[in-house]
Amino acid sequence: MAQRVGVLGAGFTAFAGRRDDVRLEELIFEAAAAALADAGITRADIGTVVMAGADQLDGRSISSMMAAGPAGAYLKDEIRTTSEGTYAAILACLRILSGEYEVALAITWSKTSEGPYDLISNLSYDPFWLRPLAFNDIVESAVVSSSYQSSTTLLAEAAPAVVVKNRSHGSANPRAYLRAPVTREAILASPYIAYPIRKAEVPQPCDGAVALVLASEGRTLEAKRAPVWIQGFGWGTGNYTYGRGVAAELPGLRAAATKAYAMAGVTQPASEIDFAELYDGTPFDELFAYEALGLAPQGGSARSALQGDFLDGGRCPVNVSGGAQSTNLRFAAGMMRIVEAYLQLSGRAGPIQLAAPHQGLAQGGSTYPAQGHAVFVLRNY
Amino acid sequence: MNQKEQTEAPLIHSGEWKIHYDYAVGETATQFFLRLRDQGKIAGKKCPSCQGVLVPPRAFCERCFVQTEEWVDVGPEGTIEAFTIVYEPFDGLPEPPYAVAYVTLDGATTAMANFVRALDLSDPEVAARQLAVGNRVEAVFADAREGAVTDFYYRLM
Amino acid sequence: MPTKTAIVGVGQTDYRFKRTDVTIQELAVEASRKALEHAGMTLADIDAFVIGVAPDALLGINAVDRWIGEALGVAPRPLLRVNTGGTTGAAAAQAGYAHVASGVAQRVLVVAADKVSESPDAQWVLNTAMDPIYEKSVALNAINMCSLQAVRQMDQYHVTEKQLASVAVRSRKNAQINPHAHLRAPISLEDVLASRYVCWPLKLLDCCPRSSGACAVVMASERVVRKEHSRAAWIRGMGATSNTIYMGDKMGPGRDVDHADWDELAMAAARAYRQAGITDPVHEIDVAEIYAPFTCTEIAAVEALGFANKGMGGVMSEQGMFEMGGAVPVNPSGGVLNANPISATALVRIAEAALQVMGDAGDRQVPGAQRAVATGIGGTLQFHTCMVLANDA
Ligand SMILES: [Zn+2]
Repeated sequence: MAQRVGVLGAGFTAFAGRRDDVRLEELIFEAAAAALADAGITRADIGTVVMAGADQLDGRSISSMMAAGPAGAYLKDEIRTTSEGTYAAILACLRILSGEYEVALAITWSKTSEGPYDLISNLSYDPFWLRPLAFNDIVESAVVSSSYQSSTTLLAEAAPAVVVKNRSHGSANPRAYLRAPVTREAILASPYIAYPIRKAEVPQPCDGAVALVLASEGRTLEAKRAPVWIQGFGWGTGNYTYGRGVAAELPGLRAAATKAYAMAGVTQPASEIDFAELYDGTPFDELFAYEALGLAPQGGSARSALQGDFLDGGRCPVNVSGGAQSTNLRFAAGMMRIVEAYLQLSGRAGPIQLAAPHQGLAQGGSTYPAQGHAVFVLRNY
Repeated sequence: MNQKEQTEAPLIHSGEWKIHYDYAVGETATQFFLRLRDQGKIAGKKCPSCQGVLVPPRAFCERCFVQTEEWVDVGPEGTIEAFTIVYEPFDGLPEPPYAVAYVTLDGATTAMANFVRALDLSDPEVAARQLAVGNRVEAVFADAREGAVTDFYYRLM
Repeated sequence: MPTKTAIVGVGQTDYRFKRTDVTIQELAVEASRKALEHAGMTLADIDAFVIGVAPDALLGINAVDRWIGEALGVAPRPLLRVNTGGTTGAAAAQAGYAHVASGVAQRVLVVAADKVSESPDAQWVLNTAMDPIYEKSVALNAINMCSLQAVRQMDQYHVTEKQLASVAVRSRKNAQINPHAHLRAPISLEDVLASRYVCWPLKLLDCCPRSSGACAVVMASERVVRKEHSRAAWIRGMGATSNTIYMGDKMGPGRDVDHADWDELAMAAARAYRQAGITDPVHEIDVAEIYAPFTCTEIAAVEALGFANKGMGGVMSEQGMFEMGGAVPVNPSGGVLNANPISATALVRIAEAALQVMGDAGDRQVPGAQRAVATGIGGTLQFHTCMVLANDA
């Protein structure tokens, strides 16, 4: 890749279980305005607005109709993907690299306090085969977990450890929604909601919106702040129904990582990636991602996790922000992973700042059905 | 199974989406609806940058991308900007005929939609002439108001 | 430098009210297979997929792209869904273009499909697209928002119901030579004028039908095209402009754009024309495929595209400027008035424009067409897209 995309700034709203003080559109405006302010630009500098939002979660058909104005797209170019929050960043990168636009605002949101999330998740499945079986994102995550080929005993031991780690990390992050750490005992005492996933392993959701200002290489170099680059990105799709290959190997995530690493020139992720912000809607998602992303050896995720490789201070800290376990923005959770990775590389992560990181990984949410995954390699040199 | 075994038309599986939402209207619209409900007044919000008076009120101006602050009462009289008279029944929507108009209430810089009532719609051409762009209407407030857009309607003056 | 990008394959199903013989998956596959065949490729050649499906509620499946993706054997490849309402198909094509022009993909399949007949009434669904707090309860939907435009056109430009009817008659005449079109029975000016009012001043024959069907295009990079294809529709320019959802903001004294006009489309077209080097659209554009679901909207579009002066679109339509053989043939396919598979409709415009410049448009071919323009419209007439296609790079 001759060119790369730079991050000019990031913005996000206050997070809360319910943001009843604002209607959805005002939430979106809050994040868009914050991102422009952080980037030190105005709406006039934006070439395109790339949004990610899902109609049913938003309670509005074609929700981009309502969202375009507050996202800053008044009389501007704008497009909307519904795949997952980070796909807004994917599409924004593509548009910038195509030479069509110099500066893009990528934005996504999640205000699921207003609607029945579990039902909406179920309605995402086809009406004939999986919907009647009461599938939703948690059920599918559980089904995926059951296909894991290595030691399930170790896996069961590692899952609560991942939650304890992320919630402990989150307790130090002023941006996190849940700031109280949890104990292994409390997790193990909580009931299964869909075996092997326990209630305490699925974090409480919160409302919020998240935005990034992305720009061409040339435009990024003109900015005052030291640049942070999206050096590589990739996205991929898993199988809709299982039976072809091992679901827990996350073929879509592997394809996404292969693409992102190739673009960024990363050949040994375990040694070249300083830290990662991964999707952790359940701890199993994070555990399987270690292997798919090459951060742990095949079959070695649980062992790596249990020996502390991914703790703050470990070999490759994962989710020092606390991850979605601490800030479950659901549809927008992945975008917040990119923002946290960006803040680390920008040296602006505050109390959770890592010592001089140079290259980090951010992963977009594993969205069901069929697991859409996105991977971003960010770098500050 | 032999391809010829199908003896009936393709099956149809019925399904229904019943998704209940509790839309947070936010602080700005809340003030608007409370003023409408309790005082029978329509208010807009003024953009500090372009001075536009946005009705219905928005917490921010899409054009200037700044928050709005000042409240301004508008109407109750106004000017028709566009209208339609619906003669076709649509599932889940009101029984036709009914008229909808966008009206710039006096003092506002944008037009707000609502039903036009107290008008005979049986002859489309006659009704359309009465609703012509530029004609004046007034907002009429319901006696029992619940804090919703339908707490008022437009009536020709 | 962006990678030059072209459409090398087009596939369409026929557009019909109902397709109970297939699922939405199978419908999308039907169009995709035709597009791949036209491009001389197989699914294995495709690097990335873009799926366009507009409101979830019309199909009754939220993440229908993933289900369609399964039928296309997408995994583990990239799949991205676009949903921008009426412009969905065009936005999907613009997203597909970005995949190739950025150098990230070489061959992309863009597919859009809809089965509008499976929801009870599209207008009820489209009402749920309105502001749930300020406007939904006033029973706005896609038809009456266009009526509002027609009312303002009549007020400002003295557009007549007869001018509107001329659009419907011409479109239907063209639809008769397009085997994919949904409505093909001949209609007269008198038929249109005598049809019943749906939302005054729009009458039944001023309005599009609800259709089921799918459309797909294959896009490829210049390297692939030079090596493997004898003809291609090069994407030479594009633009998109969004406006506020609030139609009332386009009517009051504070307006930037009037709801009567499509200045947003003019902005998108200005960008597309600039990129394509077009300065005199009437003479340089050989054919236009315009997303006009209601007669009044085509009048706004021909003006925005520079084919007629503001306020003159209706007059020029009546005078025959947009007939096959006229100065700028508009919608040789019969247009949206005669087939509206909502999610796919804007992609159909691009597909038809591509077929024209590739010389593959069959009976509806505009002889010697070299440059074509395709438009899209969505939301409360708030989203506009424009794409210029040409037979040279
Ligand atoms: Zn303003």
